[in-house]
Amino acid sequence: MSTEVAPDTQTPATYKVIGTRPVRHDGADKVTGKAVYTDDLHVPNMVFGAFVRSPHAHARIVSIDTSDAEKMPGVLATCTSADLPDPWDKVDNLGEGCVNYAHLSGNVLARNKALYKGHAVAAVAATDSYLAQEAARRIRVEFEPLPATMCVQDAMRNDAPLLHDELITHTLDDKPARPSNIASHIQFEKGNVDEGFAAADVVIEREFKTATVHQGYIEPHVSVALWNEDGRLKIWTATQGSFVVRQQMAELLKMPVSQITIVPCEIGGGFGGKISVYEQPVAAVLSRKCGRPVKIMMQRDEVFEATGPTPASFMRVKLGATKDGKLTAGKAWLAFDAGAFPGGVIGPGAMCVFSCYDLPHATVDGFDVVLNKPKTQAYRAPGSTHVAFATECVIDELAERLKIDPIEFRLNNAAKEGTRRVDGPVYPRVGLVECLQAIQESDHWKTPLTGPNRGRGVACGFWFNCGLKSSVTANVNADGTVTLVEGSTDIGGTRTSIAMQLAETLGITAEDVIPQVVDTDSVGFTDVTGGSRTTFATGLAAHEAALDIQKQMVEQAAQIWECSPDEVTVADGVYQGNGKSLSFKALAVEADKVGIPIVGRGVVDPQCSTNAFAVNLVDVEVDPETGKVTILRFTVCQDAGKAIHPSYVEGQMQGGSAQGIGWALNEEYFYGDDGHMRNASFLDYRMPTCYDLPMIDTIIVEVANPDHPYGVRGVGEVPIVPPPPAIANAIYRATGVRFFELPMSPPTVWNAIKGQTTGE
Amino acid sequence: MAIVFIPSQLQKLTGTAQVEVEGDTVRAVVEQMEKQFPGIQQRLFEDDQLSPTLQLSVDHVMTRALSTSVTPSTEIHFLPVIGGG
Amino acid sequence: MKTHVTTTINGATVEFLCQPRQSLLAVLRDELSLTGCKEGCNNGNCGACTVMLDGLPVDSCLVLAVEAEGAEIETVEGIAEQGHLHPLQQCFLEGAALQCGICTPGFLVTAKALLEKNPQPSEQEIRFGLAGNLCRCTGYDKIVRAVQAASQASPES
Repeated sequence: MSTEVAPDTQTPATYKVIGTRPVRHDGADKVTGKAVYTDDLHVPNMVFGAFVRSPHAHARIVSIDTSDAEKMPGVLATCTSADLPDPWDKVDNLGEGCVNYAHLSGNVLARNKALYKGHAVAAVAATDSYLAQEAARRIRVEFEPLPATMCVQDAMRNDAPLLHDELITHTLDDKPARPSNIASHIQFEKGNVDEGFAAADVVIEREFKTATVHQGYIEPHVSVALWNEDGRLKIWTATQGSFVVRQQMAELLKMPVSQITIVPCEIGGGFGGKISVYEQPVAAVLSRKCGRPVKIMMQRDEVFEATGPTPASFMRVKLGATKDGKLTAGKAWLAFDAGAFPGGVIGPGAMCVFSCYDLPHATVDGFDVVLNKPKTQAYRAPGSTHVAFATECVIDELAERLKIDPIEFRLNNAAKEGTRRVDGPVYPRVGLVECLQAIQESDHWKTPLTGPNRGRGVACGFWFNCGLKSSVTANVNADGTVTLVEGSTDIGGTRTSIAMQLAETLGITAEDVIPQVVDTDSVGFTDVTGGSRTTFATGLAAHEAALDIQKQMVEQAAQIWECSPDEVTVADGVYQGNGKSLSFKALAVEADKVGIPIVGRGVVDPQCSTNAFAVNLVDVEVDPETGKVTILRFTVCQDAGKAIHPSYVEGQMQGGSAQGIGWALNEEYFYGDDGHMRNASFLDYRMPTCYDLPMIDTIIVEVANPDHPYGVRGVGEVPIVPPPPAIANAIYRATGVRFFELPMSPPTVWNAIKGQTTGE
Repeated sequence: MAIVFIPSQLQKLTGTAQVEVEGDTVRAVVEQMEKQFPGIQQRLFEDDQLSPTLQLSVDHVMTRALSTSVTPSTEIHFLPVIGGG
Repeated sequence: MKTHVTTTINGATVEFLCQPRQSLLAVLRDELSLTGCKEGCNNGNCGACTVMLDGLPVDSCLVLAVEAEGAEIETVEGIAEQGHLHPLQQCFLEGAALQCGICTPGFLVTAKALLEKNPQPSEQEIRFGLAGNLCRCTGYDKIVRAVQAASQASPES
C-alpha cells in the first residue's frame, strides 16, 4: 500500500493528535467479541417476531386471516397495517432527504396492495423464533395478483400498470393531468445545449443500464422494542440515525417523541440502508399488544427483498468536445427506479452527472419511477455511481477519439474553484485537479502495464458533503480525562476521529478522551451517521465543546490563581496566569477539588458548501475463456480535506472502492419473469471476497475545507463512485469492447468478447 | 436584492433564466417574486414553508432556512433535497 | 424434547440443553451468552459465525448444536488470554483492520487457525484462507496486512 499525503499549504502541519493513528476506543471490545450489537441483546422476558411477506411482485390484498396463528400455544400477538394509525399524507424533511409518512407506513406493512415480492403484510410475535416463523406460515393472506412492472422503461410507458392510482408526477413544471408511475421529474439547464453541440467537433452519445444492487451490510436489520406499562416506548436498534428513527416512529405511531427512546447499539454496517425504519414499528406494535419486549431480526433473504437497495437505472448521456479536447456541451436523460414508493435518489444523480467538469452548456432530465421492487434507499453517494458510470465512459471515448491522454482530458475540463455546476451552485476550493495530478505522479501510473488481455482505466467521481445537526456534551473528569457524549452511531471509527478533534482543541491526548455513543434521551439532536458528515459535523461540535470547556477552565484557573480570566492564557493545553502554569490535566485535578463541574457543550448545524472528489486508476486482466475480470492493481485518490485519522480515511476509501468493484463486476438483483429475486443470498448475490481483490492503494490529497477549523471534508461516500467506469474503461483497453451495462460479470464479458471475435 | 436562478421548469412563468429580486431574506425574495410572477410561490412552497422536496443554495451554501439573509449580489438556487448514505 | 450436550468451549467443560434443530450458532449466542460469533446470513455464506470445531474453522450456522457433543470448540472469546490480547487482535487494532466490527470475530478465528497451520503465509495464501469471511466495510486490505503483521509478531513464526 502507498499512502502518500500530498502536502497542503493552507493548514498548519503542527497538529499533535490530528493526523496520528491511535487505536480506536472501542477496539478491545470489538476484537474480543464483547461489543454489543442489537442481536446480542437479551432483554428479560423477550419474545420474537417474524413477518409474513407477499409472494407476489404486485397484488391486491383481499384478506388476512391470523386466527390459525393466534391459536398456537406460545403465539402472543399478530399485527397488520390495521394496527398502525392512519398515516399522515405528509412529506417531511428528515435532514437526509425527505419522506412521505403514508408511503413509509405502507412500506412497513402493506395497505391494500403488495407492491413487491417480500413486501411485509403481517407479523407475529411468539415465545421463540422458530415458533414465530411457523406461526407466520399459518397466517393466511388472500391475494389477487396484478401485472408487475420491473424496469423503468416499462414503468414509464403510458399503458404501464399503475402502482399508485393517484400518483401525479411531482415537478416544478405544470403537473400532468393523469397519474403515472413517474413520481418526479427534475430538470437542470445551463447555457444553450444546441449551440454547445454545434460548436463541438466530436459528439458521442451512449445509453447505459445498471442493475439493482444492495448495500450488503453483514448485519441484518434487527430491533428490540419494549412498549412499557407506562406507555413509553424503548427501541434498541441497528441504525445510522437514532434521532431520525425516533422521528419516524413518532410520526408512524402518532406518539410524541418524548415518549420514545431509541438506543443505538453497535451497528454492523449501514451505507445508507439503515436510516429508514422497517421492523421497528412492527416490533413496537407487537410489544404493545403482548406486553413483552419483542425482538425482530430479518433473515438475509428478507434483507435483500424487503429493505432498501439502490436503484437500477437507464441513462442516456451525450457529450461534445472540440478537437483540442475542450467540452462544449452535455445532455443527460436519467431514469432511476424509485422502487415501490416515490422518493428515490434521482435528485442527487441529476446533480452529479456532470459535476466533475466545467461544462458551459448542458441539460439534465431526471425521472424517479415507481415499479414493483423494494423501495430504494441511499447506497453511499446515492445516484452518483450510476451517473459516473455513464459520464466517465463517454469521457473515455471522447478522449480516445481525440487521441488525448485520459487524465489530460479530464484536467483540461476539471471542475475547480469558481466552476459553475450544471444545477447552479459555484464550487468553492475543491481538490479534483490535485487528485488527478496525484494519480499522474503515482507509481501506479508511471508503471507500464504489459501483457495480453490487460488494460488500464481511469475515472473520477464526485459527492456532496452534508452539514446537518450534531450535538455533544463533554464532561471533564477528576483525573483530567474528558468523557465525550455524542449521538453519532459509530460505523467506521468515527467515535475516535471525533474524540481526536476534541483532544486536539484541548491540547490533550486522544487516549484521554472517552467517547460514548448514547441514546436519544442522553444527548441533543444529532442527524444521521451518513452523508459523509460525521467526522465533519460531529467533530465540529466536539471542537465547539472543547472551546466551551477551555473557557470554563480559564475561569477556574483564574479563581484558583486569584487573577482575572483575561490574564489566563492557553497554548498547547497549558494554562498560564499570574505567574503560574498548569497542564490541562493538572488544572482539572485542582478544579475538581475547588470548583463546579466543567461541562462543555457543542451544538452545530454547519452550512455546507463543500464537496469531495475521487479518482481511480485500475489495471485489469480479462480471461477470454471465461470472461472473468481480475483486478491487478487499484489506486484510489481522494481529497479528504484533512485526514483526522488517516487509517480510517484509508479504510473508507478502500471499503468504498471494494463496494464499487463489486457493483462493477458481479453484483446485481437477478429477477425472474415473475418479479422474484432469484439470488437473495450471499452465495449468489456475489460480493467481493478477500480472494477477489488486490491491495487497494490510497492517496490522500489534503485541500482544506474552508468550512471546518481542521479542514475536514467528508470522505465516506465518494469512493464508491469511480470504480465502475474506471473498470469499464480498463476492460475496454484489455478487450477492445466497451460495456454500457452493469455488472460486467463473466457471462456478459465472455459473450461480448465472443461476439466481437466472431463478428456477431 | 438577490439574483435568483430560475429552475428551467419554472422559466415559462418568468420568461427568463435569472431575475434580480428585492428582499433581505430568501422568504422576502420569494414573496416579491410572487408579485412579479404569480403562481411561482406555490411551486416552491408547501404550507408557507419551503417544499420538503427542495433545498436552497444561497451563495453556494446549502440550506433550507428561508430566513437566510441575502445581499444584492447573493445568488439563490432551488435544488432537489439530497440524502446521503 | 431437548438434547443434553456436553462439550468443551475455550478449554472449559460446558453443558447445555438444545432442540435438535438448533444450530451451534444459535446455542452459543442464545443459550450460552457467547455472542462474539454473529449471525449474518444463517446459511454458511458470510463467515461471521466462524468458530473452531475440533481444530477446523467452521460456519457455526451450518453445524447442529448436537454435533458439539464431545467436541472442542474455540470462539473469539477464547482468543485473548488472561486479559492480554493475542498478537492477531493487537495487529487488527493497530492496523485499523475493522470498521463496523461485525465480521471481526469471524476473521480472527479463521486467521488464527490459518496462522497456526501456516505461520508464514503469502499474501495469496492469506487471501485464499480468508475467502470464506465476508467484510463489507474494509475492502480487506488492512485485514490482510494485519494478518501479515501478526505472522511476523507471533511466537509461532
